[in-house]
Amino acid sequence: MKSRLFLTTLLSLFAFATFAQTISVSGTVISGDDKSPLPGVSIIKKGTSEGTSSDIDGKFTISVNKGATLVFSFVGYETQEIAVNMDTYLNITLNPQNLDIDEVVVIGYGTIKKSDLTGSVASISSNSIKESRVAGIDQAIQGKAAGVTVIANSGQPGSPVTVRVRGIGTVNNSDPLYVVDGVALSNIAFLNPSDIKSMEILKDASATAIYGSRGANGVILITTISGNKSSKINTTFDFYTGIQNKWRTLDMMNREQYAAFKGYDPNDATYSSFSDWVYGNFNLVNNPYIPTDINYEQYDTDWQEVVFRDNAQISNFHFAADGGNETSSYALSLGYFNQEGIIIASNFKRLTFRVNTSHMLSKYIKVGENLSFSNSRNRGVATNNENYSVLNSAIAFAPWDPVKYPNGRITPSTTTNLINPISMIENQNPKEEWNRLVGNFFVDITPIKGLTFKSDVGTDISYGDARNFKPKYYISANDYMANNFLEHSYQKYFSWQWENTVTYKHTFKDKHDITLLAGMTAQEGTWDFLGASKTHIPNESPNLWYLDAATQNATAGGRAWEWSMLSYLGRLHYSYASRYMLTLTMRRDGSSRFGANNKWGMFPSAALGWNVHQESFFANLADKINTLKVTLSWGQIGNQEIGNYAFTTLINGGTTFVGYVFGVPQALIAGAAPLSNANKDLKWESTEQSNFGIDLAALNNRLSLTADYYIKDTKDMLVAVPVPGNVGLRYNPIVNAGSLRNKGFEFTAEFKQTHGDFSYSVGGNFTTVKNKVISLGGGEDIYSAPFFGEFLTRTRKGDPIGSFYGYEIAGIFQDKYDVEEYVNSKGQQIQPTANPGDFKFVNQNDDNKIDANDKVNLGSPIPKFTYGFNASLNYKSVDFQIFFQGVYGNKIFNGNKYFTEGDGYTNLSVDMLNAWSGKGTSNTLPNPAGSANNRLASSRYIEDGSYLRLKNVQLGYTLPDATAKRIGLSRLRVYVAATNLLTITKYTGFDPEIGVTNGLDLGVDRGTYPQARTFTIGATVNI
Amino acid sequence: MRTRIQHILVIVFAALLITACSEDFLNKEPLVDNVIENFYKTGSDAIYATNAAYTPLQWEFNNTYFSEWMLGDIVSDDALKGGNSTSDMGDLFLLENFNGTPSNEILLEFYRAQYQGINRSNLAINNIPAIPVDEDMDESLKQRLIAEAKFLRAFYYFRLVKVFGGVPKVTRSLSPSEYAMPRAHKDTIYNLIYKDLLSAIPHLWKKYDYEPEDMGRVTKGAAQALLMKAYLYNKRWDDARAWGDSIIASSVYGLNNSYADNFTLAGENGIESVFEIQYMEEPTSDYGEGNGFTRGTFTVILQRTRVSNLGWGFNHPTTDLINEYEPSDPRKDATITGPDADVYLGNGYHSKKYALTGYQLAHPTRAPLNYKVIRYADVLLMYAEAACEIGDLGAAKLKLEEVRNRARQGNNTILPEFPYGSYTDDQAGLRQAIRHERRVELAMEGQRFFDLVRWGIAPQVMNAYAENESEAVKAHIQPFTEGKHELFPIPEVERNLNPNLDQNPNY
Repeated sequence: MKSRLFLTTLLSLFAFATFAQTISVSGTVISGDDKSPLPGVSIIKKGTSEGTSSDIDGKFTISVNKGATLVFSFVGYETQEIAVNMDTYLNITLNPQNLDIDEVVVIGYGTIKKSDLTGSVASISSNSIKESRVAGIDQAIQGKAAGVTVIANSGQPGSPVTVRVRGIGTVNNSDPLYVVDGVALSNIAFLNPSDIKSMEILKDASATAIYGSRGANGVILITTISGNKSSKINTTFDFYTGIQNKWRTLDMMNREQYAAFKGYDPNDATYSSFSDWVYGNFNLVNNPYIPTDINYEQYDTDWQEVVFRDNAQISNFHFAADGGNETSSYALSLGYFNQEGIIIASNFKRLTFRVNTSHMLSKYIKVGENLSFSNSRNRGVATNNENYSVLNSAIAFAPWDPVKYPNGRITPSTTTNLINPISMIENQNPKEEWNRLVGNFFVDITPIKGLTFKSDVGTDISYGDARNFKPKYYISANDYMANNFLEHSYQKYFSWQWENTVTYKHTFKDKHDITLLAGMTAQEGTWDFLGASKTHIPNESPNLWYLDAATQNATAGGRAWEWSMLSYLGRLHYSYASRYMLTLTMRRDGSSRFGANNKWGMFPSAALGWNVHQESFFANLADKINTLKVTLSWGQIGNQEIGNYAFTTLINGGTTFVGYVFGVPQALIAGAAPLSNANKDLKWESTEQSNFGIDLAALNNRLSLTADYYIKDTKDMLVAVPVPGNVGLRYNPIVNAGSLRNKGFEFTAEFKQTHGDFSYSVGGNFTTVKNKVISLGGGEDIYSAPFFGEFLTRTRKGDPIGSFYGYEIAGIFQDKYDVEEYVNSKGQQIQPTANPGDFKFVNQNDDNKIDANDKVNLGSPIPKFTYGFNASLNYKSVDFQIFFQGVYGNKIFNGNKYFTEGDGYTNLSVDMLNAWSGKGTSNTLPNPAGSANNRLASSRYIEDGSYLRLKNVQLGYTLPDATAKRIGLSRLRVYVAATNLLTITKYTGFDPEIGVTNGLDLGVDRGTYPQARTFTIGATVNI
Repeated sequence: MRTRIQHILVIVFAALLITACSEDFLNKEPLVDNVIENFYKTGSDAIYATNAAYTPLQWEFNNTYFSEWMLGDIVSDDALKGGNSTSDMGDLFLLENFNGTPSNEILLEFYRAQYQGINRSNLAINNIPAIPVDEDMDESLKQRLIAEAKFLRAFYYFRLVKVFGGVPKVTRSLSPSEYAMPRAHKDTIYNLIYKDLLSAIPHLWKKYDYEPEDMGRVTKGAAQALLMKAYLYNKRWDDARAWGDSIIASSVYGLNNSYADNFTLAGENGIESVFEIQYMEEPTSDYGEGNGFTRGTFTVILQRTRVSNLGWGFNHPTTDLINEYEPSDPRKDATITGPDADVYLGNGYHSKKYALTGYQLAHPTRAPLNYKVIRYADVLLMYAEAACEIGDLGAAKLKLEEVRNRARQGNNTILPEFPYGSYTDDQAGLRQAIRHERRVELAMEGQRFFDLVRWGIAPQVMNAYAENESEAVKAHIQPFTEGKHELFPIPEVERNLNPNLDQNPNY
């Protein structure tokens, strides 16, 4: 995209130059880094559109007029211009565009030379994305860019990922905006990482304000593959396959340990055998669901082994080709990704197609399109829910219970009302399929030099299909289906956008560079859902899992929403002698999501930049320091992610939540009532951000450093705030509820060095985020993350957003005296009803009881800093990359402990063998049979969530060119790699990467699907 | 050059077109749901709004845990929690042992559910008066709909005031600055209940004036009986008796010949039924946001025995209750079943009234049996109690005998007429006999704990009962503390959200 634009500009600049006298020039183009021949290099006579390209050996021949200039360009390399004089043979060396400060950076509605950039933008290369070998682009950027936090919500294949740019900007939706080839999207699950050419993350207000009300959480610009102007067709085939495994299991009691814990004594004559004890102790004798002849002694089930899948497969195929000529270019690709989950039954498959083309209709009109289609299918399993999760159930089941009885029936729990995790999997058949088409069509018109008019129509069309079949089964009184059941639903989303921009670039008196941009955009989206269910399918074969096969209890439902936006935008960029830069932007957005009083919002920004190294006083340092740039920016951006109709109170009609049974015979009769309250005066949430940045390059551009400091204040936050029950609402209303500050430093550094055949680079990034609630607008603290009758987190003035609140534990009462002696300053007993073995909670307010007023801030789920660092080495044909990623200083609420260190009605962690069982036995693990208060939210659940992960390590070998050519390839690279090979963490749950359930429900582990450890082998073939 | 300009002009013109219609383009009326500005305009809106005020009556168990028996029976000396283990609905276990804390989820969900009912009643009461009569609603129906909503508001407040004492008095939709409303005094809430019911009664219809398709709506008798009960709870004996007279004089109600028929599907909305919460067959599983808020009740699966009736085995009658029955009282067998295999802490007996024995449920967890809120037998016993307290022992004995006579089922060798047994033939003896009768007649119907509290004998009775429990049960029971356990704690979550809510004493 960038090179195309560049060429277009060059072409138009020199369109009218003419020359005479023709000579034939030939030569070879080689790469500056490995001296290998470069095929496909575009060689154009400057000022014309005529040219050729280098062949597979980097050789070329071209006829030119004497005195003409040849322009050599190739993606990823610096463009070189050579004036043809006497030489008829040219040896051209193209240098890679590594730390080239004249690299072009994609920004909103345009591009800019990196040296002229005044905003904070992080670029991620396509290679770095491909190295990650994951399903989604969002996963691939984890740890790759300063200021960007990526958290896997779940290890479930195909599940979404949480991306945060510069902290959590709002208690509301904090997802960044994605713009793929100019199309604004809220999710990019359809994208194949291999289709990406470049990715830019816009972070500060100067960069994001051009996206107005959708820019507050950062903008991720993605450019996909494009063709080239040489007649050479490049084809690439990527393939990898691998296996994934769990990397950790929890240490639970085995049968012997748990039986002993539950009071089984082999020497006790009351029971004739272990089975006899199980039947007797748990009253199973007359239980109709449990056979009478189970020999429990023969089972010692490791339930985690049962639900985790060993060596789950992952594989990816990607084929791409690109080519073109002077007037047209194209790129196309086909990809297939297939991943099994490390929990049985879960899987994800995705097929992607892409065609991107562009055509010069005439010298001043270019048209083109980018079109992608994806089909994805997945089957999930229940996770991350403290009440219904495969993993929670697996750790809780008694080890003496078999997975299935000898007659093949799934077992109910002998100890309590647990649902067998295998029942959660086998008696559910949730399947989801998505077909999605995303693309755009554009026209560029350049009527006069420097003026470009662009019109772009984009669309996102998604069709979703979800079904679930539940068979008829009886496992226990609380896990059965009296009839089989089928539900099936379709949903479709259609959105279009139309953008028109005019860009004018001009240079006055060689020193004053001006770029002006003005434009308007319109966007509209509609979503529609239709679903139905029935029961009683006579035969449960999958062939009959269709609604017409079911015979009874038909239900149907349908709903829809729509939204629209209209915007005007403008930007002025001025640069004086490449030394001083000024950028001003403005966007005015109108949104259907706000009421008549607040429909429009205005979002300005301003930025200054200074290229210090261009100053004359810097000249004596210029040989040491190549670049030194400082930038300062300020702007206001908005957030409109509040749901489509929050401005008005809706009346919920029909029977769900509002129906009642009347009549003889009885029937469910409809009613109507609001379930929430609207706020007519709802106004735009705005984020004001200031940024100070320094860019430095030194040692011949081998060392580069970028540092930013930012303050990001979110005001008038739009929040669904829980309101007191006495208001009588089912759903929480949305209000403008205060302000929040994120501030922090971001550092990125890279160093590269080459010694003959050996080259290496090391790099890293480091981000600090300090999050603080400045005010809640006079409102009350926001309570969130419900967990067994308590809210785990509070958002309160002065604290980080969503901090954990709970009781502090002072130890365990060892005996009656301890209980009696635990008194306040007035001598009153604080926990008079506690027994020895119960927790002693810290009494924070010196009253005579432990209650909610004694809950204190137990830490924040937000990391103090996040980081990533990588190293890459090349020696001759061998390459090696290693990438670490980590977070530090965050807390996790380990919800697993509610069960694993619970009351013993479910299986327990082996740690509980050391639980309090008498005076002096433990001061940390309470008596499992003790007070239920021991399970209240307290410091016992709060763990250090810091981790350092060896995210990726890869060893590759590239066939020597000569060998590759002999077998008809231009390049062949094979590699072996591992993901999540090593994790260093103090966290004791399954995985320290805990996703966001919603808004303020951060860092709560409710049985999260853990990340896999993956080993892969792969190859990249270029023909 | 001219064509280039033309190209641009075409696009600019089109862009301007969009701009011109921008206000229309940006106005998206909500799809599917009506907006409040367009609602409460017609007679059918009024009917829908009133229907929605009934919905929270049905809510129970999941997310909106509550059935009258959870607090009324299990917390009292009549029943133990049951279920699979002490941790199976552990919140209930804590409450029954007077170990409940403000974090108890059952209390939280109960509190919130009642206020949703109150909010919907308020919307109907405040919006319907301005709706003009039309083909769907004549003046009489309009007044009745308002009256239905007033009854419902009174009913939800009565539930709250019994459990928590005074609560915030909300009679209209609140604006954000009013959310943190402090608790009103208990008497203020009762005054609202009286006022709502008194103004509802004239406009409500008698049970037989309703068309069959309106069965289950609030009747004049239901409002009178609820008012009678509210007066009784406040020892306003004359008022209670006066409204009892009205109900009895209306001749709408009588006692079923068979006591057990009150708890069958055939007996729903029968002659003895004054007010009941309607439930019907729930044939489908959850679809969309079903979550237990629709059609069927959880009470049946919860109370069925675990082993012989494939239920969850909650609400176990205590030996103390079983011993309360007089010899051969047929009501015992209609109320209690067993012994059955028991899981823990029980005597093997289970609750029968809501077990719908022998009926195959179409849905795994939900059942069609209506929940009896006020039966005519309750009205008679309330009448007897009021008359007894006034000193009109003759009238009291008459009503007591009416209840006992039906209980005999024609067997004159059992359940002798008062005075009998150890009861003295005076006011004190009659009071004891009426209290005994209430316990056995209304056993396992969610009344007992609140009766004990209003009689002021909860501390003695509960602590004496605990003394006689099995050692295993006793190990869990905390003493009933006078001045504390008469009320339940205000939920912690609510006090977080509304800092003006005071906690009940000693929590």
